[in-house]
Amino acid sequence: MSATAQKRPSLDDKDFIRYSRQIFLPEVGEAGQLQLKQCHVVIIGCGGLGLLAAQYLACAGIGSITLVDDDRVELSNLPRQLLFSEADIGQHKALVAKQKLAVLAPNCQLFAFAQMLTLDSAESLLAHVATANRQQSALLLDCTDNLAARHSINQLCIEHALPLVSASIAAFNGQLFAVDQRRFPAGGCYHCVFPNDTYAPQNCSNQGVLGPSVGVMASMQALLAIQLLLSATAPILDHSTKPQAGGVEHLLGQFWRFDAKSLQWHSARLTRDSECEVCAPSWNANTAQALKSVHK
Amino acid sequence: MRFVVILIHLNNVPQTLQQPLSLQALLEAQNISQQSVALVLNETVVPRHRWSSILCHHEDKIDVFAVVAGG
Repeated sequence: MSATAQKRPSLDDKDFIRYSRQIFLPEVGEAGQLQLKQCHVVIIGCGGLGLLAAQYLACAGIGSITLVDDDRVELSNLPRQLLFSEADIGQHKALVAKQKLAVLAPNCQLFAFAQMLTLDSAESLLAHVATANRQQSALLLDCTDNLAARHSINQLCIEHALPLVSASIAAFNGQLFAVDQRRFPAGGCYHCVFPNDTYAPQNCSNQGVLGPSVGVMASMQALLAIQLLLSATAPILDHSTKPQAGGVEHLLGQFWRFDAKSLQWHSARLTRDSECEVCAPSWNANTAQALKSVHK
Repeated sequence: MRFVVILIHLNNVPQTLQQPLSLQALLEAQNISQQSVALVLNETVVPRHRWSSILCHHEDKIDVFAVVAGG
């Protein structure tokens, strides 16, 4: 770690003005804004979801963001991937996004990887998030466009005990949830809901999608991420935890569905699958260890 | 002989069952491929491997929806 990164973070006068509307909120305040500055968010997929979520998070004062995507900008992306323009067509999304976000959010340290995230490449790619993750100030946003990637990402998050905020959208159907094996293990993981043999009939390429519905899901994903990062020191939860107004128990272990036609949301409680092929085997080994470190 | 009619709400549509059915049997009766959906029973997501062992009860609210993976 560099000497700069070890400095105690602080907010200067310009930061106070820039983030004043957030700092006004008692749920954020100066302490919360400082907390966000120390956070590292990994965003896998720089399409409609990832771009807008990255923009909100970078501009909200998240300290570091890692963007991962091996896709290149295409003309058909432009109606909903609003950071891109025709001049960017053919270029790597992650690299263009980094360049544009650097202008919008000069306080944010940006990393970009124009490659697919695989279980093999993940170790080195996520090494720089490890410190933040140990301090419970890291999380990963799944903004990908296919089920295989979503399954790999979930497995990765289980192995690294990294909180996962997953959003998806196709046609008029959006889905959103957050799981965290350290803070709310009873909520399970992505595989508990969608096991490996799941078939996904819907994606944006074969179903179509309207830009604003992607924006709704990306905004909710960013909102969920910010609130989870702000509450990272809250106690560990289980299903017996009584929900409190505005408490983190409303955010973890909930599965939201958005109907972009009727504009209605439905939520349901997630449950851990005791026979889950991904999180159940690692439950005793990894999660118990992670719980110990949280309790320290 | 007395028939027991079980009223359930499947995706907000009331349905009557003439006999107790498991969640899995309910999906089969509706020709819904289990591999492409998730299921919420009374506002709780039920892991797929438990569908065969849970019976539908009177006034159950069951939501079945396709997995969405796009972004």
